[in-house]
Amino acid sequence: MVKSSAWFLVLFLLTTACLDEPECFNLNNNIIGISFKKLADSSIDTAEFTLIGTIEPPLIFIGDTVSRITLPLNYFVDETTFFFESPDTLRILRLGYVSQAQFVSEDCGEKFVLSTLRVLEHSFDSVRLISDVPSAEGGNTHIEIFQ
Amino acid sequence: MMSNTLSLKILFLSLVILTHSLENASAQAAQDTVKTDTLRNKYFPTGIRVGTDIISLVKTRTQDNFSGWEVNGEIDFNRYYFTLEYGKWGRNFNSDSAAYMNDGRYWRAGVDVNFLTKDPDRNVFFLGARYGRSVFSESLSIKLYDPIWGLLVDDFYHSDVNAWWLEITTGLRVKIWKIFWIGYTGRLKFALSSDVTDEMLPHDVPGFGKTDKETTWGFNYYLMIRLPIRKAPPPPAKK
Repeated sequence: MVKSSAWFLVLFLLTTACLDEPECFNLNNNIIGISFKKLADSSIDTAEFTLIGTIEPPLIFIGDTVSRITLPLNYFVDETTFFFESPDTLRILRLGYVSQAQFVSEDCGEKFVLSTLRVLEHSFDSVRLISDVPSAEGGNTHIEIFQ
Repeated sequence: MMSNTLSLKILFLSLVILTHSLENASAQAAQDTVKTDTLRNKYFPTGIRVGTDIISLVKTRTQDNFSGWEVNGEIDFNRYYFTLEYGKWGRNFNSDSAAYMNDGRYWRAGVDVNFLTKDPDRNVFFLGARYGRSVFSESLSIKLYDPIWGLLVDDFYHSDVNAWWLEITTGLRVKIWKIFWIGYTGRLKFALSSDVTDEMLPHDVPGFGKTDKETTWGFNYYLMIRLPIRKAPPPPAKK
């Protein structure tokens, strides 16, 4: 009985030891979702932007009429400033976070783990932080912008 | 006269009571001595078992990315074994965009409970627990091109990082010849905590392993010698 249990434990440990190789895609959690809402009743709003991008480095992601957008954070640094250009205004949203590098495996290389997301500065009417941990994929809402 | 007779009776009665009390006290003392002897006989260590982990030594010889060793010591208190393990390991990994290296020392302390209490060879099948602690340094060099954010070339380094964790253990110790023993310890490691490391998260903690999951497994295969302290009492007879 004891001998059988011992062999079972050895085989179980050896088997499980081979099953811990990580997947190599979407390792960085540097994606945030932003929803636009009406200040009056918090209902979903649409916003027309001719350009959405970052100031440093100067990048342009999208120009469209949106009620929700997904944007990437620059995980090489600890803050990213987005600009939102509409026909009559230019608004900014400066976000801070902690970005930590971590080695994953010889096959996958490294990943960056982002946490403690916060709104450092903005020029919208009101901004609310929903979740302070960015995601690896789009779909979640981290920030709500009221206008 | 009456009074003298009464006094003598009282004196005689007192002597009887005193004698009886002394006899009782003496018997109690004897009983206590037997108990103490039994306890001492039961719980005084019979030997120290010291050994080294074969897997670490083989991996050091055969794997380019691992270097390490581990020694362990166990001392018995009846069916309980106080265990101390001390080791060192260093790893280095290279990928297309990153190079990682760590090096550190660790120790684990804990108690194993033997479930083969009637084995005539005093072989051991145990369940136990450990508290582990590690102090290590690690470095990560990255040269990465991101299609959105461009090129990143950076080096990260931490020294004297403290980490600690818990383990549930199980294993065997088997006498092979005279003072020579072999055995293995399987470990479920969990509840890892470490110092705050600002720019880089640990990938591998010496003594614990990879940090990407909340629990991880470990396995050691020990070659040991047992140094006797005293003659072990015979195991209880099988019913």
